[in-house]
Amino acid sequence: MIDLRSLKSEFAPGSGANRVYSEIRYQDNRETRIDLTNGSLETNFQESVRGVSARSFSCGYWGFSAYSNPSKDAAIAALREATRNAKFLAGRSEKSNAGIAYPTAMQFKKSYASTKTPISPAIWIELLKALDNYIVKKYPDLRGRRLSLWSLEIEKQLATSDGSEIHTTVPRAFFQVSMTKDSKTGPVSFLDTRGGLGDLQDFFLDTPQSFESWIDEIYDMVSRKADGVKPTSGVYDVVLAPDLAALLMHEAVGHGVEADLVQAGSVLWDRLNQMVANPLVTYVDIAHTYDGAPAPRPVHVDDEGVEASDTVIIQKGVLKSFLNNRETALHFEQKPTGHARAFQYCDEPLIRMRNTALLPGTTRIEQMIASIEDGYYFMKPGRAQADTTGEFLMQVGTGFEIKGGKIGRVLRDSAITGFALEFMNSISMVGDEFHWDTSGYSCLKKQLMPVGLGSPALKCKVRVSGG
Amino acid sequence: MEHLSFDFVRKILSRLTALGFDQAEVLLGNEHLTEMEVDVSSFSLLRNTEADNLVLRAIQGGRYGSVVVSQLDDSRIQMGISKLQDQVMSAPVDEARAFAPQPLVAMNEMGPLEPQHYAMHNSLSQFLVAVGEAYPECVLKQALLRYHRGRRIRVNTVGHETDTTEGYYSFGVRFLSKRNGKTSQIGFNGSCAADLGTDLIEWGGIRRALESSVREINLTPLHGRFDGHVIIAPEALYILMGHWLQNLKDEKILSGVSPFRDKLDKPVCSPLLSFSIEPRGTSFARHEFLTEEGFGSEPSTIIKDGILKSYMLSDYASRKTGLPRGESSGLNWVFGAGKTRLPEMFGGIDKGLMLGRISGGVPAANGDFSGIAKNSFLIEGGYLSRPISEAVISGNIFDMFNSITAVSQDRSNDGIALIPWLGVDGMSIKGR
Repeated sequence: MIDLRSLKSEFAPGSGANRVYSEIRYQDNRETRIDLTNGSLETNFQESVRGVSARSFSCGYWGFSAYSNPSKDAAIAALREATRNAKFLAGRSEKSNAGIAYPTAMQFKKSYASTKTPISPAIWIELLKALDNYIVKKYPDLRGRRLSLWSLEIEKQLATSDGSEIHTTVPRAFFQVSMTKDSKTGPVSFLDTRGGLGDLQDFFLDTPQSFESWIDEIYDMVSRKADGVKPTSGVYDVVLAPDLAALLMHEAVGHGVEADLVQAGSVLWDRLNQMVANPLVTYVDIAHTYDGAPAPRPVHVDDEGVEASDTVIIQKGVLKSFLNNRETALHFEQKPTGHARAFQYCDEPLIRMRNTALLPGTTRIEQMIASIEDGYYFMKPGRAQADTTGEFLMQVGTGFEIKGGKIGRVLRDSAITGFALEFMNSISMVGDEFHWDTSGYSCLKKQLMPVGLGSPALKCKVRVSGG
Repeated sequence: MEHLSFDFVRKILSRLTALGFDQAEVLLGNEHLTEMEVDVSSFSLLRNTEADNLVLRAIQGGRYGSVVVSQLDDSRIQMGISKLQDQVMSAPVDEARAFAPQPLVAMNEMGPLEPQHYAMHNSLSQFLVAVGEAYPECVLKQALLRYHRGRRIRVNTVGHETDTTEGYYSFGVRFLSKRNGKTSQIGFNGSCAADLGTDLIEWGGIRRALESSVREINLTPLHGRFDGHVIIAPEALYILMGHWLQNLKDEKILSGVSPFRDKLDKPVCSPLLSFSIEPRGTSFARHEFLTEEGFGSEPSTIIKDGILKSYMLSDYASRKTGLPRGESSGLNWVFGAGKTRLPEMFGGIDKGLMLGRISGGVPAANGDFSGIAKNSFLIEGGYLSRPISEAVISGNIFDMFNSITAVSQDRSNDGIALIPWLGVDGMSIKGR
């Protein structure tokens, strides 16, 4: 830890055209990971990635510098180097209309760190071994199994040249079980994950027996998938379960409103204040609190010292705002609402989502399924990709046929594709039960970033690819 | 930088051995990065980072532990050592854990050891001008020119003492092309080089990708479905081969998912495919002296005429399974050159797809996969006919590498891989 207040005198903000904005950030990412693969302890590590960085903005250019040995001297060196880097670029070319927003400075301190005593890795390894023994004895027909526990606690301290001082700690922890079973067409896998905001001891400090029904459910799904069928390719009415709908909205829509990608030509760049979705759709990037409880990845102040508030992206089908940092907020003449986030101390803040949420509607999921004569119910997402055209592909790990308004056979791995705008306009029902995803998703955009994803179930139309 | 020395690392090793571990290892890494970024055709960021990374490992009675520390003051190192003791005590006995002995060469330095800021700025500036002149319809969304330097000092109690340093540059671009209100799909390309002596536009496949982007402006949706030939461009092959190779590596072999567990010296793909790893190949920008576990990296043949000749396993996975250890960590791919010229590969195809890039997830455990064909063209009557969008390509990755119809003579070198164009049959392509 560094007393960042003692470095205030090091900022050299200047004024007018020579104004220099700067920030200094100390960060410690504390990670634990334990993987038990087919009974062998494949991974058992604890890591603390910590350091100090500084970033400066001068004449339209950014400079950044970081050191892994955090100290007052390292912070001062990083600040000077960051300013020198910005001025290096500024000295070689000129930018017009380049600037950043200067919102009200923030002083803020908040820790979500667990209040329970941390547990020795030995206890977690014993838990995994006990559950692995349970699987081996009860389900000897499995080809492979993997049990993983991991946690990541991120502590950040930030001071900016315009007066913000921040100190936050946010942990998250997950437990994942994966099983692989042979089928007539080769091996089939299924995995499930639990966890969320908190540390391992907040979620999983329990007897092995308390996890056995979950293990049984995972075995049941992998067995049913082994006997599953391929979906028939084509365009269908489908129901997307909350986890899958939340990830699809994040990839296909959320990235399209990140202002840096808007500047790079996202399909939504010229759609502000226009209808881009069915009026049933209201999509919000929650800052830290939803329905009176902390969101999975609470952000109160971002890594530019900007207060984080909820950003209404789409309101009743109308695109209302992009997600901005200080620089794009000025460019688009929008209020910065705290989206600049960096994953590690050595990363510069990028525009990122926090806890994107499709707000619930009024339809029960049973009504959605009953309304489909021939379609699919897709439950568990795999990986998803979308580009700035909004074209997306999402793998589906678990799904079912819908025939005559009823759930039918289980599907093998499949995929859905489409375009963001067509997808959002095809949404015809929005479920009444909202869920936060618990898969521990981290989004990749130059840097990894833990994000929260939430949605109710949806009825929409997509292209289904069954291989 | 005074901590980057054998002396510093040996002292930490002594502290571990004093605790009575059977074996111990200390690995001190130092990574430097200088990054120059262009956003929407304008310079935006100059970033440099310096990171130390201390890995402490120990084994006692077959129990193994590993701790990573990124701050090198004495109290943090002591905390790391205490955590290591806890880990070792709590780990189950696993006789497969061991440390690497001393390799033949103890010290190596390769590539530029310092970044050249002025040269980097000049190279990027010239690239912006070159793209503007040669491809005025092309809009650069982002360009990242990076200098990387990594140094690793490793000592352990089985006599290993090595100090290796590698420096190199990497360059990645994201772009699209526009004309008369029409827009191509986003394109990506990237490459590595040991120095800045060559114009960035000539690195790897960057010029080819920019040219293709301009040709993609008039893209139209693919309608209908057909099964048939696909010519896979090097950029797409890199992704697909990466998925296939996962089945020779630790996770899929240890978890039992790989179909190649008992396939050493047996056919695993088409006899047209040969693939090897050259960790210090002279035609590449990057060089690997030691594996991630500290063994000396050596060239290895992975596939010879479709026959599996080597796995790509760590020493740990090798001991767990009884299969041979990989000779390297897998840097620098070399696909064997084929006998067919690229135009001839198109010539025999009545209707097919030239797959420029694939956007999608990872194949399922049985190998089934789907992806959106990006930067891709329809092949008709033996020629590239038109750029297409909304095409989903699907198949089984094991079947695909068994159904190779041709490998091109031409290969693209992006600084870490020498990759041809590959013709495959039996793929399903579905349009709107």
